[in-house]
Amino acid sequence: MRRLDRIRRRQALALLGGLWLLAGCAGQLASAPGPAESPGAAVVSRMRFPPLQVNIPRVGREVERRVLANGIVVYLAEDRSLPTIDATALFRAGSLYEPLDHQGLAQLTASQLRGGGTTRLAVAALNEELEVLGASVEASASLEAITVSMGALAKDTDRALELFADVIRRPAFDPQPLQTAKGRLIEDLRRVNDNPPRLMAREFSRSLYTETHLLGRPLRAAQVAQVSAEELRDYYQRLVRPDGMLLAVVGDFDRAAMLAKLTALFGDWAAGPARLPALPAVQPRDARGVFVVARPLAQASLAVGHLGIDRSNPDRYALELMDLILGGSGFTSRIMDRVRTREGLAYSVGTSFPTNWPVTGPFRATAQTMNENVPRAVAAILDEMERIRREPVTPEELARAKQAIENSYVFRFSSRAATVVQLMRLEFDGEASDYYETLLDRYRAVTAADIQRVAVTYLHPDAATIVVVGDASKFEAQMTRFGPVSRVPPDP
Amino acid sequence: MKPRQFLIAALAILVVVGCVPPSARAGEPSDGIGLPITEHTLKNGMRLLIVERRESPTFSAYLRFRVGSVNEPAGQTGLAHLLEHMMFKGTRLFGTTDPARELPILERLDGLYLDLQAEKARGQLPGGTLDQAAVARLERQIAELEAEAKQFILRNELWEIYQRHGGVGLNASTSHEGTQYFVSLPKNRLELWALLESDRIRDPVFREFYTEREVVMEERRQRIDTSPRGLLFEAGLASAFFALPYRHPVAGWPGDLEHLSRPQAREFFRAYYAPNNALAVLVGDLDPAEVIRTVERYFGDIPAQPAPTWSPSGEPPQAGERRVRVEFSAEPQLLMLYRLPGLGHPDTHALEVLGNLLGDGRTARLHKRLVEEQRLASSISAGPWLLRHAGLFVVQATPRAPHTLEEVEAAIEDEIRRAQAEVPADREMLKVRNQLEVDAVRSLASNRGLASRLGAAWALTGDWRTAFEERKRIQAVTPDEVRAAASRYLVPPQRTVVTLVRAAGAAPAPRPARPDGAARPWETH
Repeated sequence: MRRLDRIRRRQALALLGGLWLLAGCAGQLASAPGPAESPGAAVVSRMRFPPLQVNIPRVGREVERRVLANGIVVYLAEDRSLPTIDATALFRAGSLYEPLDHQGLAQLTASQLRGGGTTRLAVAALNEELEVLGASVEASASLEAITVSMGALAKDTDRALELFADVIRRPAFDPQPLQTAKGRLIEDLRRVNDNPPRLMAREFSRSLYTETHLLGRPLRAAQVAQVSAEELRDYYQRLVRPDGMLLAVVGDFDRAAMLAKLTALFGDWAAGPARLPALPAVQPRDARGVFVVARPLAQASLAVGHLGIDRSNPDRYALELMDLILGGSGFTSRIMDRVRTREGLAYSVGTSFPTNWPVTGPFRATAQTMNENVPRAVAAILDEMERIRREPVTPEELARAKQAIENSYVFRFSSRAATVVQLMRLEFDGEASDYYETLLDRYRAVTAADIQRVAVTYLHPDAATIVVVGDASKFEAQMTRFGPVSRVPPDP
Repeated sequence: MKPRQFLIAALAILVVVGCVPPSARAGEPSDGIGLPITEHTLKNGMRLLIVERRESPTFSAYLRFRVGSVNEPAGQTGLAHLLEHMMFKGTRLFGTTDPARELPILERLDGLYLDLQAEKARGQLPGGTLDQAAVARLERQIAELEAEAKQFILRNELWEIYQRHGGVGLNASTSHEGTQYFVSLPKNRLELWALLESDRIRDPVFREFYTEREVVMEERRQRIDTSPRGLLFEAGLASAFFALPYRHPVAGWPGDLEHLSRPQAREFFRAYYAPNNALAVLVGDLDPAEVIRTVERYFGDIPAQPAPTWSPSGEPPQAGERRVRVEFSAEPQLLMLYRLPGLGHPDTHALEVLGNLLGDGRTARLHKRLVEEQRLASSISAGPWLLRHAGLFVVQATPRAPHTLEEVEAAIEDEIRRAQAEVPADREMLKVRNQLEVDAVRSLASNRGLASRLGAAWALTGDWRTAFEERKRIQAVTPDEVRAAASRYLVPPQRTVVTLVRAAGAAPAPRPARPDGAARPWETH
């Protein structure tokens, strides 16, 4: 450790020098700010890191993109590092495409694609066969997509692909497993109240989007109970279709042979006329107010926020950097630093400002803190929102956020399978195929003035919706300074 | 296997965060893994494992100390975890603009906090009174000194440096038997990792200690005090073990947490964060010779310390079934814990198989029966949770209204009796063997996952190879051994049953859902 010893000696000398200087201006000793850097920062700044080659996989090079005759877009990549195969299919059939009075269709359709068996294999037999192979086929719904994924050992490729294709093309929607799934979902909804962050998230969305919008209307047990197998079949037939289907397959195989297999399994799936409903527009609204959900708990769960942007907004890159500095990058962000590190008010605290939603997404800061500390935590969050509007971020903060993105960029492509799914996702989201090659430049171009401008434009501390789940008697009286306070009645 | 991973996740806590002949077996592909592994021990006893996996120009580092909540002195529960948080607070090199002026202030603060604690304790003695004025004076002095210390603090500098250099997945976790620190970095940042990690185990400064103690109390409220599952497991462990320290929550008891002090943390650090009690696993695009050189350079001169010894008191035999009822404002939950032997016991392999058959996946017996056929529960999981000196077979179920905890428990018991009466079918055994095979292959897919798996096995069993060899032992289990294990261990006198129920007089349950979905007259459809 000779090297560190040298560092220490230098440090000691520097400290002696520092004392000598300070002696010259006695009287300011207690308040004189030290040097802005730590002794270690100098050590790190002397380190030299050899340049790193980041290989951004590209369609046409490592990844092949093909379109089958019926419109299915296939992304293929070989990866021989492990004897496995992974496939992911995307359909534009997520919960945003549900009719307002038929919520739950996307989730239950996804659940029954896999959980309702296929016309060739009842669900019990399907479960049994997949689990004996140690393979998996799963389906899930998000806002925009129903995703079906498959994973298996390479030696079981043919059978696993067959089952995967059956789940996608030939779901049975057997009423028995549907009944089970609905009952489990209803039980889960009964228990939302037992999970404070979940309850808080539900009420925040409801306050923000209102029950006139899908994003604001909570899924209810009565709604779930009414869903029938016929409705799921209809939803499936309208939205889970070959035209518009994106499929990524990665693993230990030969590309040409795999393409032939996929063509055999999916090529004869006929496309009917597309009937994609329009996305429900979000009405801009000012929803300033405090909404309290009274629960007798030792800790409160709170959210502060308002409507944000959708992905067509050209300010998204500046906003992403703004959010990283404000509260989106863990310990190095302002809100975490203040609420957790400096004031010790919370373990979990942070912000999210999604910029890739197809409709207007939310901006939300959340924290979990002792009931008594709710007003302090809310005030700190609003104050930090105010400050980033009022003053430009420092050059150091901006440089740090950009460096973090740039230097960790390599991790976005560290797994071949995840990379191919990301490239496919670009097409799903309507992004240019060179998105990842140009993204860093978009961040690099953002200035401190841009950050202040987007903060002023898109952060609205004066019009924030505040939702608190907790022991109301300990904080409610002090909340009027944040806006009109109302109680959210017990579950709808 | 999956249930155990789930249980470990449920019970661990995250931050969010002699002269041995050197080097052996460099570059040799190792059995069961197919990747080159190099093992090296430093002169100070620190152990190092390097796995070359060159899929991407990155690496993941896992640094583990063989210390956890089991090592905490009486009355200091939560200390191992709080110390894990403190390890992010900097050193003499980082996190401060001027250590020479800052550190004396921290020392003075320690004294004041001890005085304050003593003052408050006096008030709690029989016949004692709280000297309000003295308390107020001490609190004022503390506030002043903390403000003075703050001017030197560079908060979260470790996170900042790692993030700026492209670090991802920076975090740490504490469990009953281990404390581990992880980060993934671009491969050209190996030396940065070595500098930051060696520096913080050589010379940490526990600044902002008392503020962080507040954070840890909030973490406890979040994970346990407001969580039905957190409360269920806490009550379960405290009842299943009488003597072994597994009975204490890793998060600590609230009454202990509020008294933890910085000198206690320093003492605990000195005892357990020695290089001879540490191991590092690095997986990624690395040159083993360079890693060894770098680690030697940065960690090599940290002095070894007398090995900490911990001789656990044996757990006395369980004299009959234990039942615990937790009252909380939430829907009911059930937890059944059966006493098991610890890691390494020959029966644990059959218990792993039993856990898979009963509780893992859609074809698991408990899921098929309780969730799908009888619809008594909305979810159920089961499997062994194995620690070094004891284990538990954990069954956890969420009843589905209007079915009761009693119905769910009876159905579980019935399935257990079946497992005791009949040997598993060949196809079930085949399923377990195949899934283990797939699991072993998939575990090689991520640097970070592989590093954790090897590191945990290495720390708990003394040999990282057990991460892969266990699989072969489990695959060799016979159907009869599975039945025998069920008969030997899953018996009522050896279990603790915990129920969580809504407190009488607490807020009423939300209206039960109507399974028939009958339309309400005031709603239009």
